[in-house]
Amino acid sequence: MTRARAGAGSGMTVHDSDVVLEVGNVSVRFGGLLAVDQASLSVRRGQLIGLIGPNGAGKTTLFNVIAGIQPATSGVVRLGGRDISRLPPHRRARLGIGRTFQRLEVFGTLTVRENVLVAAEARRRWDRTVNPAQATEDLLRRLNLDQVHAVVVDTLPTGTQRLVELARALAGAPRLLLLDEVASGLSAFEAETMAGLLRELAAGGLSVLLVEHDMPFIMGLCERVSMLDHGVIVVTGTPADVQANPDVKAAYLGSREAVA
Amino acid sequence: MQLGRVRRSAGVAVLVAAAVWVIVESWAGEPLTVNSVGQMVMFALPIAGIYAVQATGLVVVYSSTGIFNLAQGSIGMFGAFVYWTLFEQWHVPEALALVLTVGVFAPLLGLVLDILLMRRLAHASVIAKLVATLGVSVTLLGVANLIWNPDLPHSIPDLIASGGGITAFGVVLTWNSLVIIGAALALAVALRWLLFRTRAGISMRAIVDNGDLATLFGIRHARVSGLAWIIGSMCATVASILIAPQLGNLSAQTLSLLIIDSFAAAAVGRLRSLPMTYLGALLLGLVVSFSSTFLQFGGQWAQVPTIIPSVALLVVLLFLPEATVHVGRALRSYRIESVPSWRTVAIACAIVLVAVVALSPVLSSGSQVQLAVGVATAVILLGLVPLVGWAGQPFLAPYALAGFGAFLAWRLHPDMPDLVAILVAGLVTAGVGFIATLPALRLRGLYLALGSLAFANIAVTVIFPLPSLLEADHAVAPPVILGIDLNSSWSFVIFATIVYLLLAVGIVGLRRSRFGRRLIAMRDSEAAAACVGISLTETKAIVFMITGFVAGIGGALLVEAQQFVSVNQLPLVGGETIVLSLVVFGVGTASAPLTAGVMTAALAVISTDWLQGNWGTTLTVVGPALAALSLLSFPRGSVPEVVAGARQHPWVLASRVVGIAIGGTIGVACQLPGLAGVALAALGAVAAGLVTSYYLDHREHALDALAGDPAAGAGRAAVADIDDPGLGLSRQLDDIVRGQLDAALGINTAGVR
Repeated sequence: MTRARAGAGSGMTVHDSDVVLEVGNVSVRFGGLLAVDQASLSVRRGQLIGLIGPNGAGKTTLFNVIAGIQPATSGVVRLGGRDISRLPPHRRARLGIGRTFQRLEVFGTLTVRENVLVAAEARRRWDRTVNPAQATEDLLRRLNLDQVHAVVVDTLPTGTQRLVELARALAGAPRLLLLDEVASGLSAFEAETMAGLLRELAAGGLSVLLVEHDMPFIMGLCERVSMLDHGVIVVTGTPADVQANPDVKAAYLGSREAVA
Repeated sequence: MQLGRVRRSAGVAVLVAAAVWVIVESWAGEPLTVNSVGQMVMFALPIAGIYAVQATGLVVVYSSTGIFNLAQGSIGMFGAFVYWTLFEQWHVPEALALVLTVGVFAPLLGLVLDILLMRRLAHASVIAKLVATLGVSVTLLGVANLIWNPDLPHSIPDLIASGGGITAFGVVLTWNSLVIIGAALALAVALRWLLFRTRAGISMRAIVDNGDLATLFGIRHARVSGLAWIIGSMCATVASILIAPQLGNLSAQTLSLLIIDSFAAAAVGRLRSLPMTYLGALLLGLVVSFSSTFLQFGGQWAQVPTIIPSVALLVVLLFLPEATVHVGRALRSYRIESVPSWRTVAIACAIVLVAVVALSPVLSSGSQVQLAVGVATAVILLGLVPLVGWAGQPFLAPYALAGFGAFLAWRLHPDMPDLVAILVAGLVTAGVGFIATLPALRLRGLYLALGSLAFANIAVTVIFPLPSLLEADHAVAPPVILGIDLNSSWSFVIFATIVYLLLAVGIVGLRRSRFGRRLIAMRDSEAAAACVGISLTETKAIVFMITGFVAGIGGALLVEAQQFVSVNQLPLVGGETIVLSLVVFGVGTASAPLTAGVMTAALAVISTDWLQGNWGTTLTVVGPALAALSLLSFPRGSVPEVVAGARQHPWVLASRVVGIAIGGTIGVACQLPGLAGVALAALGAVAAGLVTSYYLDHREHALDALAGDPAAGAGRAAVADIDDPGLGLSRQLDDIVRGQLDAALGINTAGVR
């Protein structure tokens, strides 16, 4: 908990080579709406961090800010200590951010294999050692996608498309993985397999930030969970702490709106 | 990090320097006084008024239907001619003629277009939408040329013919100018009232804000889209009738192309905001008026004033804030193009080559030249396949690129071997393509389409006619390739075909390469492509250069086929028409360009050999447009899809061919000049298209239901269909949608059935 506070509270640089992602006081304003309000969080190497919150809380917007798709109105995003706040998304990807999307963004007219291959080939831009074809085969096998490797992605069920997005994100060999509702559309068994895979990846040093609505999934997986409500990070702590927090229940059950 | 800012400041510095240079170079000597500046403003107001009315029509239609109406100018043109007929020919009193044109004809035309075509494109791709409006534009142009013989003078007078007006700053602001300003202001007030005080207007704003949400609240898209098209059509007609008297003789083409001038105003409003559009119109009016008051362009630059609005658009595009990467996948309204195997490619190449070698000696020499032109056109179009088909970037100015290749083929002929000259033509054009599209590179697709039209306008009006380029027509000697003199038409046809096939093989290879996958990835999801480390700007720049290279070679072949080079070979509208036919035949394949080119050639042969006078020229214009309209009434339509459909159900192909043939036959058979013949021909073609599409839709559903295989239907329907929030509300849940939902939910329906 103390470690978490140090990272979460301030926008200052943390002199800790272990910190992969640091979001400092990021705000996003859409006209009159403050979608994200002074949000700060940090993710260390190999950590699995969950981000929860009711619909419209600003989770996906925060993801878009980290990935560079949505410019922040103010605040700073650092990757491995480097300020990346002004970099376009493809430059951030090249520095090691991989992501999936809440509303699927697969390359729908390409096959499963091509989806992953495109990303592996893009990686050659910053990593000449990689063999795209080989990396693709490995990932397809690892995610059990080799059965459907020649299928055009648009014709696959949602759960499989989510796996394709994950494989594609991993093909860039990221340091930080942003997963936006990766478990939705998965069966209980598939979700468990996914959790196992994520633990394995984290053990290998990959840092993962997850947005998730599936509470058992995220609570069983994450080391630390932050809750976002109306753009503000309300609570940060261990899954048990967060679940016990009255603010969390209030936000999910809507009593906050009733009072306001 | 700071790079973006540095680049922008550098861009501003270059632009300011260029503007200062132009002003200093062409200063007319008029002193800057309160009076002269006052005059400038006085002149600017009516110009701004016209721009404002036109651009308002564009913005209203685009923001409420998502369709950028490239036919806006042609709709206005048609209205102006109808007004001419009523007022000048039938001597209807002016006020009544005005009411009939603006109040009755224009709304009807808008509504009919919406119901027949535009409404059905709601889920189509940006390119399909643009091309559909292009089809309408070209069709209206052709029909207008048939009804109102372009060789005869047509002109309409100012609305208020009497002289006089208000005098200020030593100039008279005529009553007519005041009418224009008044019309623009009245439109602003009327729209403000409509959008904020009426139920229909509030529905419209709701749809603009959030179409999906509005649908859930029971707002009907159809009604709003109809209203938008009525407003758009009325704006177009009013603007056209107001501007026409100042142009002297009514020229259908000039009036149609005037719309390009208002793009800049609409772009200032970012195609959404009406107040900003008015501001844009005012600024544009001031710039144009400034140049006419203080600047003087002579000699080779005499045409510069007419392209100022186009240049202004490119400048506005430079300053538009960079589009944040678009999240949300492109609606896929086309069939997944299969990548041909090398075996298929080899067989296809052999068939084409044998066909050309066998066929060309049989043709008359005139037809051989037409065929060679067709193949050259096909090469130009082939360049668009990676750009438009695979990268999904709407580019509408193929001739503007090809023109540079055409010029170089002529200019380099004495200096180097012809084969080298053709290659150099391609390489230089690649560079031109890159520079020309620079302003739009970082922007979303639609702006690229607008920018490309502005580029075409500038190229045709000012660049190509320069004395150092193509001021005069020149003869082009038949090329000598590898020691073989291609002085006979048929040998050139074979040469051009070989070039096409070589380039087509290269293009197929490109699609199968790493870069080809990158292009498709970018088209399918810009956000995801960027997030795996693909630079969208760099990818677009490369694909533009490839397009330029191939189109440049095509341009070189074009002038070598005709053995002369002239600005008239590179018309703006002609360029739009060939893009249209390419999209109709399937923009994502390497075979479609050849089909489109050969069809264009065939139409040219038919029109010159079989038909006389206006009909001939009109057929070449209207033919592709009608094909586009009948195919676009089901937006997924294109030749590859027809072929794919024919494999599943052979009768699909048969009924389509019959439908189109009926339309075509009626069109050719009805050589009655005048309105009746045109109406009949158009009706025949449209009806045939509608009947086949209606028949097909229902027949396919029925068949799928019979076969008990909803998944087959699901595969064919647009993938985004199940995201339509109107499902179950304004749209019924049919078997296809149910199949899709089941597939999405992972329910196996086979067992249930």
